[in-house]
Order: sequence, then structure tokens, then C-alpha cells
Amino acid sequence: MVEADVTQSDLDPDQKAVLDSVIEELIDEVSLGLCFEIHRSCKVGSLFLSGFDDTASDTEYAIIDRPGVDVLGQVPSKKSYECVCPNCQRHLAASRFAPHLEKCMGMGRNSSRIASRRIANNQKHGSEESGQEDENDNDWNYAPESKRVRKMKKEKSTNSPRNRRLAKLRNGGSSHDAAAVTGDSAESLEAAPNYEKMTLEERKALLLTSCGVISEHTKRMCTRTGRCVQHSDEQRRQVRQLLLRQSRAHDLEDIHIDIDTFDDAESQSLRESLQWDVSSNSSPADSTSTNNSLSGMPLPPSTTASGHSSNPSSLGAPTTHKRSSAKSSNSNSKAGSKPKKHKTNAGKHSVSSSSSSASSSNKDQHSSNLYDFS
Amino acid sequence: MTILVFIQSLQERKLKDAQMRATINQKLVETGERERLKELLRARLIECGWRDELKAYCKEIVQQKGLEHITVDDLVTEMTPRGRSLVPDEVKKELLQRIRTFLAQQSNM
Repeated sequence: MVEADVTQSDLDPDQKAVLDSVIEELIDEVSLGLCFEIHRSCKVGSLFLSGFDDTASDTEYAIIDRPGVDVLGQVPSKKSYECVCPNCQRHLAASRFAPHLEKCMGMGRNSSRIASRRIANNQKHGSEESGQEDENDNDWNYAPESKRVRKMKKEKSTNSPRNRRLAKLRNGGSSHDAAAVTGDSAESLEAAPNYEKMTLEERKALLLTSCGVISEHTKRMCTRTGRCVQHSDEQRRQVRQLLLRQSRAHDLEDIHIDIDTFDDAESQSLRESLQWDVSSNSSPADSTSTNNSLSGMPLPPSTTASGHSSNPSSLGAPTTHKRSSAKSSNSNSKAGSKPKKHKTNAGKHSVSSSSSSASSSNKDQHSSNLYDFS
Repeated sequence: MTILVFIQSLQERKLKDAQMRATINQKLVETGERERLKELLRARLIECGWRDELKAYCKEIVQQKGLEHITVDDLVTEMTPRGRSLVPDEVKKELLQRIRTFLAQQSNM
């Protein structure tokens, strides 16, 4: 009925009145809003302040609802946080950085090798267990038990790198580290006794903290303290002579290469790599041969110049030091006065020169005998 | 007798008016057209300077009564008639036209 009235005609006076009243209502509402606004600004005290306009600020801070921009009207720029791997200089997303480091550096909670091994193990176990669980699915009593079993298995299979490292250190050296540095695979070296692959500093550190006498049966070092009662001082002294003199031999080999073949600039990096190479790959046979053929030793195949030099020393200093130590070792005299002098250079060199005091050529025979049983 | 009939017809008309008003209002509110109309009106009133005019008038009133003693009621009673009278005819016409077209659309649907 009413709708008929509405649509009937535009000139209907009733309708006009009604619409007018509706419009008046709207106008009143708007003016009421203005009243509230002004009253508020009165009470707040901003009514008579110049340059204070609510509408302006409203438009200024209005929420912008357009596609492609955020609520502030700015184009959202993609922020990518990137990290540079210190080991391989690769750029990585920040979220991938920690996993990459574990893989790249070969450490962390799960280095990739250990992780993959464990995953393989777990998959084997998991498939077996899942089969079990499926069979015993309805058996409520069985469920916690099987869980416990799996937990125990997991604990067994968990081979944390820390534990491994500790164990290795106890067994006489971190061959893992040395292998990582030279780029060799750790597995190929694990068969040989570990202490032979240690660098000189590592050997010295180990010998300072432990007894270190190499057992005839297990071919492992004694890990007790220096005053261990099972071994005599004489035995300890022999072991130290043996190990430290052996590394001194490498040093001499270095000297030979250094003097004859290379100029200072490119020998620096090569020498670093060679040192790592020799000290980590050495075997008893090698060391004796280098001792005997000091002068005529051909150049070993050079590895690529590695960036692993832990002791970046100045170019000139190590060379001169080596020449002097070469002289001293050739003459077999006053080597004992050397060590403190070169302490500022790489620790490797200082230790090697200190070792030269203990070693002499007439003891070579004796020490090679020691090698025979190891 | 005639007077009584007249009064009756007047009452009927009032009733009819009220009914129509209620129906129109209901439609406007239900469809959200009322809000849109209000927004349009506000924009138009700001455009034509109604708001600034009314605000200036308001400030006069506030100064007369004193900033501390002014109340919302005072402002409303003073401003509502003034606000109504100040609204330009074009704005009113536009609004009226818009409501009419809206109602026509609604009845056609």
C-alpha cells in the first residue's frame, strides 16, 4: 500500500513532506556530530587553537585501502635478510643460514654426515616399528611400551658430534678437524692412529695435559694425567721426543722447499697448505724417509692454495725464521736457545723449533724402533 | 459531525504518514542507503562551507557562554535550527533526488 504511494508520483505532497523530514533528520544528525566534535574540542581546549583541524588529520592518517599498497599507502618492499657464509662466501637467506653452517662447516648439532646416517637408521627402524605399531594398533597396553623401546633406540642411534669429538680427543687427537681442514674425508683416515694426523700444536696441547704414552696393544695414547702411575717418566719422555721430533722433520722438509724452489710471495700460501697436508697425512714410513732424504726430496704435488691458514703471518718473517732454524738443525747445535725468540710467529713454528732441542740425529734410530711397534 | 470527520481524516493521514515514514526509514537502514546518504551529505556540506560556517557560529556561542560553562545541550539547541537553515537548496535537492531514485529502484525490485 505504502509502496504504491511511493511509486505513484513525484509530486505527492505527502511523500515530499516525508522525504523532507527524512532529510532534516539526516541534517540534524550531521550537525549533532559537529556539536559533539566542537564540544569535545572545547573541553579538550583545542577549539581556539589555530591550525588544529581534525578533518585534515583524519584524511592524513586515514587507512588507505588500495590494491598494491599497505594501509599507510606505501608500496610494500620485500625485505630479504641475507647472510654471507664465512666458509664458502655464499649468500643465503637468514632462515637457511644455520642449517647451511652445519653442513658447510661440518659441525653443529647435526652435521650432514651424521644426520644422513641417522636418518637412514631411523628410516630402517621407523619402517619396522611402524609395521609393529600397525599390527598392535588396537592393543592399548602395548602402545607405551613400544614408544619406550623406540625412545631407547633413538638414544642409542643418536650420535652427537660433541660426544664424538670428546671421544676422539681422548683417543689422541681430533683427526676430524684435521681432515676437514685438508679436505680429506675423515673415514679414510680413521683407520690409522689418530695422533699421527694431529698438528704440532694439537700434539703439544695433548702432551701437556695427558700422559700420552702409546700402548703397545691398543696403539692408543694414555689419556691419564701427566703423573700417571702406569707409565714411567722415561716412557713419557720417549713419546714426546718421538712425536715432536716427527713434526720437526716435516718442518725441515718445508724449509727445503721454501729455500730452493719458491719466492716468498707464492710460497706463503703453498707452505701453509703443504704444512697442513704433511702434518695430517704423515705416516711413520713417510717421516723416516723425509728424515733420511732431506736434501734430495722432490716436491710433493701441491694442493690448491687453501684458505684455511689459521695463522696469517707477515710474508717475510716465516721465511727468515725457517732459514735460521734450518741452519740450526743442520748443525745440530744451540737449537735449545731458539724457541722463545720466535714465539710471535705462528705457534707452529715456535713449537717446532722447541722440539728441535729434544731431537737429534743419533736418536733417529731409537725413535724409528718406537714407531715399529706403534 | 463534519468536524469529527475532518479530525478522523486528519488522524488517518497522520497515521499514514507515520507508516510511510517508518517504511522508508526501514528500507534506507536495511539496505545501508541511509549511511551512504549521510556520508554524501556530510561531504557536500563540507564542500559548500556549511561546516566551517556552523563552526564559526559555534565558536561565537562558546565565547558568549564561556568555555567552562558550555554544555552539549546548549550547543545542540543553538545549532540545530541554524544548521537546518544554512543547508543549501542544491544539497537538499540532490539528496531528495537520490532518495527518490532509491525508492523507485526498491519498488521495481
